[in-house]
Amino acid sequence: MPMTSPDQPDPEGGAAGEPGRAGPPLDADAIVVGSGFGGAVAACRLAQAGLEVLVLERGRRYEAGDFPALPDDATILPDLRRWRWQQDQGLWDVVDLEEIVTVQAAGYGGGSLIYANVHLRPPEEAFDDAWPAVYRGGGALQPFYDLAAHMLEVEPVSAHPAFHGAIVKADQLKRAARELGRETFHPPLAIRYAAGTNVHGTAQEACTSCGHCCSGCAHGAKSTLDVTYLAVAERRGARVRTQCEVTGLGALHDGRWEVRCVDHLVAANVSFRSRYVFLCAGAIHSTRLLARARLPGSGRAAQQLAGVGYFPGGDAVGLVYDTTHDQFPSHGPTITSAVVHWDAEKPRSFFVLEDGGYPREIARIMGVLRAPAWVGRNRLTNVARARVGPSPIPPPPLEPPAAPAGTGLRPPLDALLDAVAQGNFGGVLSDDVRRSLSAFVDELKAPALLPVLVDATLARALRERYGHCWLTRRLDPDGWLLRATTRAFTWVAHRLLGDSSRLAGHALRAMLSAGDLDRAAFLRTVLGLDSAGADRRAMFLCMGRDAATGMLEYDARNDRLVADLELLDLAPGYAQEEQLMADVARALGGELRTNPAWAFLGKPVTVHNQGGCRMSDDPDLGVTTAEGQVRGCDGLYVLDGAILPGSVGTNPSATILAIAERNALAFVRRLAGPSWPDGDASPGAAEYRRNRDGAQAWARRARDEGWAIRPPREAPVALGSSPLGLRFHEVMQGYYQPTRDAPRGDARYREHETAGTPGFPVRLDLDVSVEDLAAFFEDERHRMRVGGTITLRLPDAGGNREESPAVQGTLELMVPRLKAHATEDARRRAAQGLVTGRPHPARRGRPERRRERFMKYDLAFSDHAGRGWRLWGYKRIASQRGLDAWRATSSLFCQLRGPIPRGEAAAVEPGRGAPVGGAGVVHVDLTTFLTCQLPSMEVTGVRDPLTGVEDHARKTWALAKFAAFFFGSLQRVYLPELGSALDALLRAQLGDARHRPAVER
Amino acid sequence: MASAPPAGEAARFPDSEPILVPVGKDPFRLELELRRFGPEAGAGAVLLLHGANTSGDTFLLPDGGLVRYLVERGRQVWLLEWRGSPRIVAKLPRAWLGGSAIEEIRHYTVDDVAREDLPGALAAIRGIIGSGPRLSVLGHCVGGGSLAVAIAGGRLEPFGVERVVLSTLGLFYEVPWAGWIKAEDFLLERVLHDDPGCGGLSPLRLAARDPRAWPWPRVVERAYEGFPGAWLPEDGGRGELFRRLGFMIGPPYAAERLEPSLRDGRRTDPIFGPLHMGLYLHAGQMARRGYAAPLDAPDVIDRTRLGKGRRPSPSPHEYLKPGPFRRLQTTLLCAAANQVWHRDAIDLMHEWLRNHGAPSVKRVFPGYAIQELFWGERAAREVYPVILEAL
Repeated sequence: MPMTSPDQPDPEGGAAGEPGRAGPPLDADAIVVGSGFGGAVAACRLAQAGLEVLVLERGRRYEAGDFPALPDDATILPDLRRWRWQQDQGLWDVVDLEEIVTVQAAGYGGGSLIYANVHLRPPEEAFDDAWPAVYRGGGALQPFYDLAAHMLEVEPVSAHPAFHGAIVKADQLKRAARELGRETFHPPLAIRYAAGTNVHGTAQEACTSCGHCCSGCAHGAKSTLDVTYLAVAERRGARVRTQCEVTGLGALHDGRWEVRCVDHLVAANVSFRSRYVFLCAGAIHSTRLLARARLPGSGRAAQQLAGVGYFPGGDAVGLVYDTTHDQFPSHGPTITSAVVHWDAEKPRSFFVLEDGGYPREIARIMGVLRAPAWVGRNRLTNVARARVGPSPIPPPPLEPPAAPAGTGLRPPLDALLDAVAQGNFGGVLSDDVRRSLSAFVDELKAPALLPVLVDATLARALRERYGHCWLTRRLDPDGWLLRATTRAFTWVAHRLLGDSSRLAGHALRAMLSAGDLDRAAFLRTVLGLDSAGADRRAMFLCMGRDAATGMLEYDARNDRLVADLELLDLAPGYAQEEQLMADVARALGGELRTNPAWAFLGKPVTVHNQGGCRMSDDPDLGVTTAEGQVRGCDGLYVLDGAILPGSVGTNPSATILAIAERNALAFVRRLAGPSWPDGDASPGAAEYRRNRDGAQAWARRARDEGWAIRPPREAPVALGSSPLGLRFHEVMQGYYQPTRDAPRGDARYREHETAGTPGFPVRLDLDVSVEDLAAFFEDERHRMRVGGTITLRLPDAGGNREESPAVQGTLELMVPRLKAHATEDARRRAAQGLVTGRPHPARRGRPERRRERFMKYDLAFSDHAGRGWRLWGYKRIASQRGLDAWRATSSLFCQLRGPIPRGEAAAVEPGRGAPVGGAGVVHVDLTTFLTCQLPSMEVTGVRDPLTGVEDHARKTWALAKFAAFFFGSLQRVYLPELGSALDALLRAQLGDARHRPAVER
Repeated sequence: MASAPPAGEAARFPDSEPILVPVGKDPFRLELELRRFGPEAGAGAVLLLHGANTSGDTFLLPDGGLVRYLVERGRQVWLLEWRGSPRIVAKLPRAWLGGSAIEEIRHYTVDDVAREDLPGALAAIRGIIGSGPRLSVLGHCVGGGSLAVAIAGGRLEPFGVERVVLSTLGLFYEVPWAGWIKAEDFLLERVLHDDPGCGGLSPLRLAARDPRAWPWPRVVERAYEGFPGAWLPEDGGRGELFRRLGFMIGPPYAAERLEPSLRDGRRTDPIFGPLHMGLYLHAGQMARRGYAAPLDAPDVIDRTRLGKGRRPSPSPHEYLKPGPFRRLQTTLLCAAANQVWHRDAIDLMHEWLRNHGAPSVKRVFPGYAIQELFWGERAAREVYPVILEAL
């Protein structure tokens, strides 16, 4: 029998097991793993070429009425089935790769079921040297872009006046972009604008502008892969197994492949054999499957590189609330128009901003992004009057109310919420449960949990700590000082917690009016779970050319991947996208909020995973060849987003389709002759020829209407907003002693400081700045830029000549010693280094658990003769006996290196290379710190570029976050116990609150 | 059809007295009822299978219902009261078949329906109409589940059935979360353990003087009392029956969406009757597993105390045989707001059939609860034509 599982539920059928057929033990000529943009193409073209194809898809088969039900306004969590893949093979697969959260589709048709239909061609600049030679410039892919466009019959909304003139959000984005000196364009979409039969003979309905593109089109108006490519494949005899998750892949001795799966429908293991396997399971899962596959010896070298060159596509999402005019985000296809921003400094770098949307049903949940509970950080613009006018487009008609669902049942969660609000659980819970929950109910009756907890914690801590000590009793017998202190601390806490006009205001008001407070309304406000002003919201989706600098590490023990991203590389891109969104938000007169996961956890969310099995001409740089074949593995191909060697900067689906089309054709031609489909009389080949001929019309339209992104002719428009930054001035003075030996250890430096009298004086006047705080926090080396001057006498001039050259360099703030990755393979590291164009840092990895932090200064300057010098120094913060925090943070142990001949300065690494010229210690003195450094602390990028008004919420956030970073680092060194003490205190308070929700005022 | 009865007649008057179909061997012998509507089978005969604990009258509401619709369009309709029908249960002798409740339960499962009731009825029908006319079968709820098992076992093949309609249930058993909690709580198994003489549950509070009235065991009464009010259908004046039914199997319909003449419940209430423990237990077991398997197949946690080890345990994949389905045209009716079974039950069946190359068409009816497929106010416009076309 072909299928080898003893637990075979399908003894007589399915794959090639028809009774009486005694063929070779193959289930198919080719197995296609996954049915997304890569797999659908592979299945279609291989089936057309006459191969027996078996498609294995882990998700469900969705027909128009099958997509998961979204919660409507009345219900929050109705039927949870088929939402998450992990739960019951649902539609969305959310994977936490530790440094990034990825969302991908699971279902027959893959990403096409939930993508926003955009079929956008990247500019030729995107196909740079990272790509195999045949792809460079993108010319070789153009016919295949046309072919894919024809297969999906893509068209921009502008082609249909009924749509083009009816979508308010597109018009508003156009107006806002004009106001910013930019132009929008309409990317082609894979949507049916009119009901009818598509080129493949499948009937489709017309788009109703319901905005459900990303949760599954209930009308069958999206030209998803299951009604296009896969329908053709099935008609040509391809067999499909859905809910059949591939778990393993192995080479058999006879050069064939065995694919092991779990059939989730009947909970059984099955396996299939074939001559060829096409991995098209999405960048994450193809990489994972390849990393754990049992490959022949010749393929091991390629397997080692699986995961190198992963990138998340620069996805960012933003919502603008309370715009001046209506936007109607839930009306129209999810994406209809786009703006391209080209970076003025990096000519090949750009990103796309597209108008987004979401279904009306989740308007209430989308309110969460502006919840005051997010503490003001992601409030990015001051609300001002819009600079664009209202759209003349009439408002869309409201959809007719949906048929009542359910059978006289109240959605349990809603019933529960009502019960909470009313304090009456009679209808929702049985008596037993109710009794045991009475304490919980009491707690919920407290008007506002969070602020009360904060205040109570503070007050209690102060009272317990100081209320009973001798001094307090003497000095403050009436307790007014304690109360005043408590009030002051409370005020500070509320300031720090965020925008006082929102969270603290609401919280205080709620506390003060506890008697007649509408608790439900209060909770809604704090959590933002609110559909108020749903029509005056705009959603933006950005994706850009991020550097392919990530790496996926396979964790064999847990069979999962962990992303190792250089977040510092990604952060500027995200920041730029955020700035453009802020610009547009300002033009619309709204308030921008960005994805809180990125803003708070430093964890971007991506829906565009790519790379991991990158194509390359060089076997040391990529898993796959330019044709998608895994090197050294005859018959094993990767044909999805995993093979992209670099980001194309646009929605990647069109590019994945085009590459898959190219490589599928190349594969077929290797089997059927280089001129296929010409000369092949089979119906499949004839169909391919028809497809190819049909693509001509799309090629013409693409050319005439300019469907590809092109770089601007004039200088690109600059961004109006600036990222949040920080700047301060630091002055240090001290002495050094000429020496030829690099000192080892702090004590040796101190000897040099005091050894020779008089030493050589040094004075540093430094301007330290961070342009983008978000990037600074992400950077594990926390680099700041340093400028300013150094005043010193150089040793080789006999110390007679004082100079004040300008310095430039970096300061690494509060960095731990970094331990090298223990598991990282040298070859992988080398490949990753070559991919990213710089050595892959060997000393990356988790910080050591030592109670030690460094501030490292690396300054370069030139003397009067033009010779280069380096001042390299560190401050060491360690909890050693006899050292205090001030002394540690203010003493810079430095060594002077030089002179360095011209042109070699860049090659000198910190702390080695050039000859040592001297060593010593410089200090910050307390008066200078208080009078100069502290007042110079300035947050940059908080001013509205038009009105010049400072946004205090952002400023507060920046300072608070920086302070938290700096003092938090100090605390972790000196008082690591404090953290756990605070935790314990908070735990105690929470535990206390559960039983006795005392509201202390 | 010159001799078609006038409108409305079909519903009131079957062509003949019910034909009795004897099935099973002593001591488990039962007599099923078969009713015929429409005089001739020229345009095809249709056998309709009701769901468990409802009778074939399901298809006669409202005002002749689906039966009248089909008869008026020239079909001959047969209603089988299989052993899940309250009519059959009412005819059971006072003593347990086979001597004990457990023995009767073992012979009152979906396996037995598929093995005996369906082939018996089809043989009887073919005996009357001959081998010429087309014969199709529609199975609703557990009737559909039994039909699917019978098909997988190849039991329909002797009777020349080419088209089947499975309504809300096929080989896959998925329940909404209220049902899932009951199944995972092993509620019925606990009943058997505490009260081995319990033969079933009835939503009607039948008089205690009838030994077959099956008063609810204490375990179930306690569960019913503890069941959150919000999970039960709102009473809406429908009385205890509807709430108890809602607890046993889930709410079968929402009164406000029924055809207006049925909303007061006077005509729908008598359709529902006791649910035999054998069917209930077997269905609960399959709901836990997710797909159909013989009663003796290994359970997720094997806690059924039904004489384990007396016979070799069959494979849990016994019924997952797609071959016979490839020779049929299957139409699946999916009630999207079904609260008795989850709609996944039929969606997964569709996927399974498509995965194995069996012709399958699925029709989704949004907002329909299980009985609304036949009783809903839009059913005559939306569902009946689909069934007519499919059969």
